[in-house]
Amino acid sequence: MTNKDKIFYALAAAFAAAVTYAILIIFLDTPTAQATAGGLAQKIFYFHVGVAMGIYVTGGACFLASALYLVRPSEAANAWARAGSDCAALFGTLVLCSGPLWAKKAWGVYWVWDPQLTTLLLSVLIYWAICLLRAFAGDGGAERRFAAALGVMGTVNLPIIYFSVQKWGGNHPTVIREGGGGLDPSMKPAFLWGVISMTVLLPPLLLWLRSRVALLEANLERTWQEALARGLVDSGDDLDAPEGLPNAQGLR
Amino acid sequence: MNSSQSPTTVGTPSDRSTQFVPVEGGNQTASNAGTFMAVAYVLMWLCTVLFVLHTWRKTRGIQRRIDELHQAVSKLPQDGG
Repeated sequence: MTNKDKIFYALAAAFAAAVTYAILIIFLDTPTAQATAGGLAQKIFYFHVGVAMGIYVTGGACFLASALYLVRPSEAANAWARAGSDCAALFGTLVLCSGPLWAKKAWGVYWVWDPQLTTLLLSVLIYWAICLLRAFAGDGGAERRFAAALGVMGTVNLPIIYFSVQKWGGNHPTVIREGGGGLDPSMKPAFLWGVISMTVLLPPLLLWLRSRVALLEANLERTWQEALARGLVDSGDDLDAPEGLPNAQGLR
Repeated sequence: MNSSQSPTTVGTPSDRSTQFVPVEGGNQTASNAGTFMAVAYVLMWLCTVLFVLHTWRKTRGIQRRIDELHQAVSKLPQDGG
């Protein structure tokens, strides 16, 4: 086991412990909020905010790696840019799954075209567009550059999400932001552990897992090219070629 | 319909939720709020677990193919090709 593996498993164990503790205190030790905040449904808040902030972490990773790829293309930068957009799409989807269910109880509707919700939806659509581009348009240099440019542009929208609620108002709660009344002290531990698990621990774990896939795919392509160069014909019949590369049977 | 009639049309920052406070007996008076909460939690964790499983399976699949290729290459004579 390498040092990187040890760090990964330590992070995974820390995440499992943190999320278990968070769930326990959310349901056993945290009081229910007022009905206008959704009552029992307000308990969605403790993970909803954590995953919402997770978009900033994963989107930030996507931005940095994408910008780096545009300046100096490398397999590592491409892998992290891809991992960042994949994870940002996941975190965005989690926010869009949990938010409307809470909103239904707190506001009476699943969705309103509130500035923060609308800008968030726009960002999530951009990250999904990057995922679809990478999945269906191939993995050539032009596609990678286009995905990286989208990754940079998509992340530029993230600060707009944050400030939209201050600038343009809307329905979205401002409890833990400037102008908000804050959380009751009895609710703070649940919020803290929700953020630790979903914003601090989960994003690096998922980014690591996802970037490893991209790096392994690059490794597979290199190995395949090496095998083709060495005339892998007879023994390659049962092996499928990586996407975009000729199959071994085709060389016979 | 104006802002005083429906919370769905609230438009000014001052009308928004700005703090969360606990209430007595909230669990009993929450009607179907528990269902919404349960669905939200199930959806969030289901998406996360599916994402991790998909990533894990993909990683194992690619790793297996790399190992197969290395094995196939190692069987070739050194001057093959």
